Parts: sequence; C-alpha cells; structure tokens
Amino acid sequence: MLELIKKDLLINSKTLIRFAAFGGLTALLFSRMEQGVAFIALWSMMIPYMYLPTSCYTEELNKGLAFCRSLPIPASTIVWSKFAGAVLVTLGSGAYVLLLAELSRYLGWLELDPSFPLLAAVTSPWVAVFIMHGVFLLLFFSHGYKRAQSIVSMLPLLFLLPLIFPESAKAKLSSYFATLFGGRADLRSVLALLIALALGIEALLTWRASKVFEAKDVP
Amino acid sequence: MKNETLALEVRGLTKDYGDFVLKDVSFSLPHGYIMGFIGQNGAGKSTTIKCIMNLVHPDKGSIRVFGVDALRNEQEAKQLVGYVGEEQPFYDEFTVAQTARFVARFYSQWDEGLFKGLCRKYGISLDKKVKSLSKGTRVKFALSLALAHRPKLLILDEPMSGLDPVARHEVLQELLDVIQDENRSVFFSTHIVDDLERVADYVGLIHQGTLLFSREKDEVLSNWKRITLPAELASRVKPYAFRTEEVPEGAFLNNTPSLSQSGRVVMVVDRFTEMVRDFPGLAALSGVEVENLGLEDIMLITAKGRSDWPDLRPPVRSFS
Repeated sequence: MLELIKKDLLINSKTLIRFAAFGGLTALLFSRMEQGVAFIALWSMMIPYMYLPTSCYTEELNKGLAFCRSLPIPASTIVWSKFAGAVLVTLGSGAYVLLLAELSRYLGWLELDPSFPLLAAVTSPWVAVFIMHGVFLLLFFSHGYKRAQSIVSMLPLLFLLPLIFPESAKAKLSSYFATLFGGRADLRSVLALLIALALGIEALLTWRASKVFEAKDVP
Repeated sequence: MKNETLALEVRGLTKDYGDFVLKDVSFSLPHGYIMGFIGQNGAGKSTTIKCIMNLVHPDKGSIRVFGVDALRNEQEAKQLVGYVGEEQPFYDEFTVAQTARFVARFYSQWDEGLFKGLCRKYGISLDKKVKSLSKGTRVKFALSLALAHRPKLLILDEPMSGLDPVARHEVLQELLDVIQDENRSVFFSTHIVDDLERVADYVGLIHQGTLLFSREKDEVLSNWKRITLPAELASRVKPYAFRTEEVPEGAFLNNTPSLSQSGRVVMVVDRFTEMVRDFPGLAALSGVEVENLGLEDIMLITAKGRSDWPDLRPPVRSFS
C-alpha cells in the first residue's frame, strides 16, 4: 500500500509542486482582499481536487492499472492506495494552506473574522473534497477516467444547492443541529461531524470501487 | 533438473465475451519444459494468458501454478510467475531504477544483483526514463523485471509483437537464452512460430477459442503430414485426415510438375503414426508422397478449418 502511495506521489510530484506553488502565490496575493481567508481556504480544496484526477489520468495514460494488476498486488489495495493518497494530499494541503495563512498574517495582509476560525475555513471545503473523491474513485475504477472526470467536474454545482433553500429552512436546519448537540452546537463540532461523514461516504464509495475493480477484467 | 511436477495446469477454462468464446481450454506443462502456445491473432492466446494472470476473470475452469490455485491464491501464484505481456505498460515518468525499486517491493525473492546484471547484459541504463527506451529495449527491460525475482514459471505473451525485424531478432536471441534454462518452465505464446519450433518441448494450438491440441512438439510433428495419394487409397486414409483437398488436373505438387495428377488427393493427416501402425507400408506405396509439416504449416492449415470430406468439399488448392 505504502509503495503504491509513494509511487503516485512521486509520479505526480511535479504537477503537485507546480500547482501548490501557483496556488500559494495567488492565495498570498489575494489574502490582502476583504475576503482573503476564502481565497486561501479555496486552495485546501483545489489542490486535492486536482490531485486525484491527475493521478488517475496518469494511471490510465501509462496503463498503470494493468501493470499493477500483473504484479502480486491485490486489486483492492490498488484502489485503497488511491483513497489513502488522496486523503494524505488533502491533509497535506490543509497544513500547507494554514502555513500560508500564518505567513500572510505575519506579513499583515490577512485579517481573520473572529466568528469564523481559520481552521474551520481551511477544513470546511474538505466535506466537498471527500465526497467528490469518493464519487471519482467509483467512476474511475468502473468506467475509466473520461467518464469520471466529466461527471465529477459538474459535482461542485451541487454544493451550491443550499443557496436555493429559503432562510426559514436554513434556520430549521440550524436548530436541528442545535438539538442534535444538546443545545451545545458549535461550529467546530458540526464541521467535524460533517467532515467525518464525508470521509465515511468516500470510504464507502471506495469500498464499492474496490469490489467493482476486483471483478473487472483488465483490457 | 527436470521432474514431473506440473508448472502449469489449466482445466476447463471458459470465458464468454459474447462475440468471442474461449471454450473449455485444458492443458498442462510439466516443470522444466517449454510450451509454445500458437494460433492466429484473436485465437484466444492472450485471453488464456490473461486468465492465468487473473487479469481476466474466467467464467469457468481452474488454473494451478505449481499446485497453487492461481484464481483463489492469486498473490501466492504470482510470486512464482514472471510475466511479459504483449504490451509493456510502465510508468513513463519513472526511470528504469525507480520502476525496478517499485516492482521489487512486491516480490519476496527479488534479486537486485540479477536485475542489474541483466540490465548490463541488455545495455539498459538504470538512469534512463522508461519513456525514452526503444520498443526492443522496453521488451528486454520487461524481461529483466520478470526474471529478477527468479520465477519458476515464465509466461510470455507475444512479447515481440510490434517490434521491427532487427529488434525482434535481438530480443529473440535473448529470449532463446533465457527460456532454455532447464530449471525454469516457460509458457510462450506467439503467432510467429519459426523460432519457437527450435526450442519448444510442447506445443498447444488454439483456434477460434478452442484448443485443438496440446502435445509434445515431436509428437505433433511426427503426426501431422501432408500426403498425396491416388484417389482409390484415399478412403483408407480418411479416418486419420484433418483436411482433404482434391488436386485438379495438370496441377503441380511441391512445385514439381506432375504429368498425371488427375484423380489424386492431398490429405493432411494429424494421426500419421497411428495410420502407419494400422496400415504398415501404405506410406511406401508407389504414388504416395508424404511431406513433413512445420508448426507454421499446421497453424495455417488449422486456420482454414477442418473439412468434412467428402460431404463438404474444401476449396480446390491452386498450384501454379
């Protein structure tokens, strides 16, 4: 498993570094704006969002799945290594973005909103990232890169759905969460719950992907 | 040292793709021997090998590698197998050394010294990126990777397809060295049979998804003959014939003009030794010509199909 994760990171290292460097630069520059924290936090989503499809594309381009399947590696390990690699990159980009934010604060560019902690800003996009990764893995291992990419690229639109709910519905949802946490609902707990839920969904979809891949013939 | 342990045992292998069916393929390869698996393109050679490697999941059948169930204990079986496929899918961005390091982690018997020695022998630079290797070198690299974990069974699936004649010759020389190691069993699929004929101990011929035979090469070559004989003798040979062709009047046989070919029949028999046992002296009769067939001839003949002589007449062979 570790060897497969290392292989993926190594093969995609140049793309990853380029993307992180470009992201870091723009995040720093835009952090001076009024909503600067949002620009910084955006990259905690963009880097992992880019990484997994790139890694899978490289795999398809090199017929890497056929290569790995010809070695004594269980099919499920190949799938789970993609999951683990993507989670690692997500955590890594979170740490990277936090560092950027601290640097920006040190330079006096970034002003934080006390009601919305930096950690929450950086980690909240992970809910979307984990779900998209899960969907991508399932589609990639069952239908290939092209189908996965075309569907997953449309998924971010779904995360705009809450905008169409009326304010009353949002208030009801908030009170539901308040009840759920026994009246002690705070942003950190809700966010942690949502991230755990999203990670669980990704794991479930990855498990399904591994079953599909195990039963699939290598072309 | 050769022994009678089965390196590979395939029983009732079936895979239905809808437009192509691999039908009930069964054969075995004793340890220390070389089996050539021949057939046209699309005959089912690669599907059979992919089933052995569990890259394709068979609908039915069993595969054992040195007694290990290759479908249930895939990882254990793969430790015993070195595989070079039709294509060599490597990560292009990796160097030769990086690829080897990656592969080495998955084999308990990986021999780094052997791998480096093979690379030196084949002139493969460890620092080169895989994408910069020529097709021929890529095959040699694949072969080095396949051999470096000292597999007991080497499976080669048309490794030379797509190579130019020079690269093919080079690779073939290396392959011939490798596969003649008597401590290793080799299962080698190809549709180019000339060179295989020199080294194979066993031959399996597959046609349209059906294994026509899997026997010792010498037994195949001594049983498959082309016999030209007077029509009146044809009925005797018919039970042993795989294919029968009538010879038109004034035809040439073996590029030799024949004055009275009319009324003669050309038959390809696949049980010649049995025929000679049943009818001793038949082959020596006047007007009976027996011609040896090579594996390529046999492959071409089977590709045309078996004729149901005399009810279904095969196309008349043209000689000019």
